[in-house]
Amino acid sequence: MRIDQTLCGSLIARLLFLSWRTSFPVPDLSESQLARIAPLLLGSGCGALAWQRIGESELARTTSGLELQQAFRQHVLLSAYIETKIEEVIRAFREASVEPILIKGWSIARAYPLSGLRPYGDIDLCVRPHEYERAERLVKSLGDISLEIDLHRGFGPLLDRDADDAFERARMAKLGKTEIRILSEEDQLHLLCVHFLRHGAARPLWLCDVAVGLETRADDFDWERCLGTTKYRANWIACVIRLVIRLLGADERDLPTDVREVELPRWLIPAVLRQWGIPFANHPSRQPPVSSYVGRPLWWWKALKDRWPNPIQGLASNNVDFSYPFPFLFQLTNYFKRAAQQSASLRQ
Amino acid sequence: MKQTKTHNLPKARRSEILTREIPGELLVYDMKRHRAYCLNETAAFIWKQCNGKRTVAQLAGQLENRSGGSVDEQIVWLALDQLEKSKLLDPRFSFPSQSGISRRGLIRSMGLASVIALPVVVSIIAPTAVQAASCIPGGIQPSNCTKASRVGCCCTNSKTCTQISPGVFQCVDPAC
Repeated sequence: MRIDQTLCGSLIARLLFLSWRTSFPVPDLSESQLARIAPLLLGSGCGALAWQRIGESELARTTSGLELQQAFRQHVLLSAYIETKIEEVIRAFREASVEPILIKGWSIARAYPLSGLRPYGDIDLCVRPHEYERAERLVKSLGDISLEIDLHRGFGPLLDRDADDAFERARMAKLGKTEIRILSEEDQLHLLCVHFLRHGAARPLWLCDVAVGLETRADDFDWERCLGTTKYRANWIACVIRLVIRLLGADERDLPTDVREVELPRWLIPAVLRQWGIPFANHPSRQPPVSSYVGRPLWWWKALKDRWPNPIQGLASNNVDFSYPFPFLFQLTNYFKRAAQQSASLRQ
Repeated sequence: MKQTKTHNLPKARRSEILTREIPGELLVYDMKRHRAYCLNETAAFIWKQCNGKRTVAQLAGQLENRSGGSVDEQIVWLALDQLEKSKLLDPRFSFPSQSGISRRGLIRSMGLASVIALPVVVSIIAPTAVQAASCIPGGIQPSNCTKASRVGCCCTNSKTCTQISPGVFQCVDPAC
C-alpha cells in the first residue's frame, strides 16, 4: 500500500513537472498510469494543471484526459465567477474602512499564465488584529453572497512577522476595476511554503504555487526577508524551494547560498510523494470523529493509522528544523498531543 | 406585430451570463440556473452574432464570410436549436416548428462535407467551490466553523464542526 501510494505520488510529480508554465516537455505517462492518478489529481485541485500538461498529447483523448479537460473548464468558470464576488467583497470592506489583505487563492492564481489553472473556492482575507471584530460583523452583514470568506486575525503562524509590517509591505494587484491588496512577493513566498508544510504537503497544487511564486519573483526580491527571522523557518523555506526544484523542475537560477546549499532530509521526498498518493479527502484533519469508532473496535487500528501525522506535519507543528534527525519523536508528540485533547473532550 | 418579428430573430441571453474564452471554445456560465456550457467555435460565433436583429439567413451569411465557403442555413438552425435548449437565447425566440424544419431532421440531413465544424453546445458540470484545505491539523478555530466545507473538520476545542441547521454551523460533540 505504502509503495503504491509513493508510486502514485511520483507519477503525479512527473505529470505536474513544469505544468504551470506555457511550454513543457511531452509527459511520459501511459494511459493506464494517467487513469490511476486522475482521481487524485481531480480530488486535490490539480485537474487543470494536468490538462495543461497533456492537452497536446495523445493522453488528451483518453477518458481520464477528458475528465481533466472538464476540470479545467470548470475551474475557468469558477474563477471568473469568484473574481466578480471578490470585487464585491473588497468594495464592501473598503466602504466599512477595513483594508484586508487577500492571501492564497486568487493572489497566487493571478500569477499563473492562464486563468483557471489554479482553482480556488473561497477567499482568505487577513485583517489587522484590532480590526477583526469589525470585519467579522461586516462579513456577517454581507449575508449570502455565494462565496465563502475565510477571515483571519493577522496571519497567525503562516508568517513570522508583525501584521502591521506585512501590511506596510503589501502591494496592490488589479482585479477588474478593483485594486486588491496582496502580500509582498517575499511574504507571499514565505507564506506559501509554510502553508504547504503545516498542511503536511497534502496537495501538490500548493507546491506548484511555490514554483509560481518563485519563478515570477522580481529581480530585487529580498531573500533575507523571505527566509524569515528564525532559523527553523529559514530551513523550512529553503527545503521547500529545493523540493520544488527537485520534484517539479522549478528554475533554480539566482538562489541565495542558504537555499542552494540546504540539504534535503532523506525522508522528505518519500514523505511528500506518499502524501500525494493519498486522496486529499483522507487528510488526517478530515477524518470522521473518533467517537464514531467507539462501538467498532475492529476499526480502531484504521482510526489510529489515518490520524498518524507524516514527518512534515510532526516537525512543522512543533516549529522544528527539518535537519532534526529524528522526526518520529515529533510525529509522536503531535499524535499524543491531539489524542490527549480528544480523550479529554470525550470524558467531558 | 413587433413581437412576432422578435420571435424569429434570435437574441443571445446576456443577463446573468458569464463567459470566458479558452483556445477553441467559449465557456458560458448561466448564473441564474447554475448551469455551465462549452460552445465550440461555430456555436460560439453564431451565439455572439445573435443580437435580435439578424435573421437566420444573415447569420449564415456572417458564418460564410468567416469561413470563406458556403454555409447551409441548417447549420445555423442546428446551433440555435442547441442554444435554445440550453436556455442561452432570449426566451422570446421560438424555434419555427411549423415551418417544416425538424430538429432531428436537421442533424440527419447535415452533410459531412461541410466546410466548417458543426456547432456543438455541451453541458459541463456546473462549477462548485473547490474544497480548500480548510481543515488544519491543529483544528480550526470554532469561529471559523462557518461553512459547508468545514463540516467534519476538527475544532481547536476538540469538537467537530457540524451543520446544526440549514446555514448554521457550530463546533459540537462528537469530539474528533
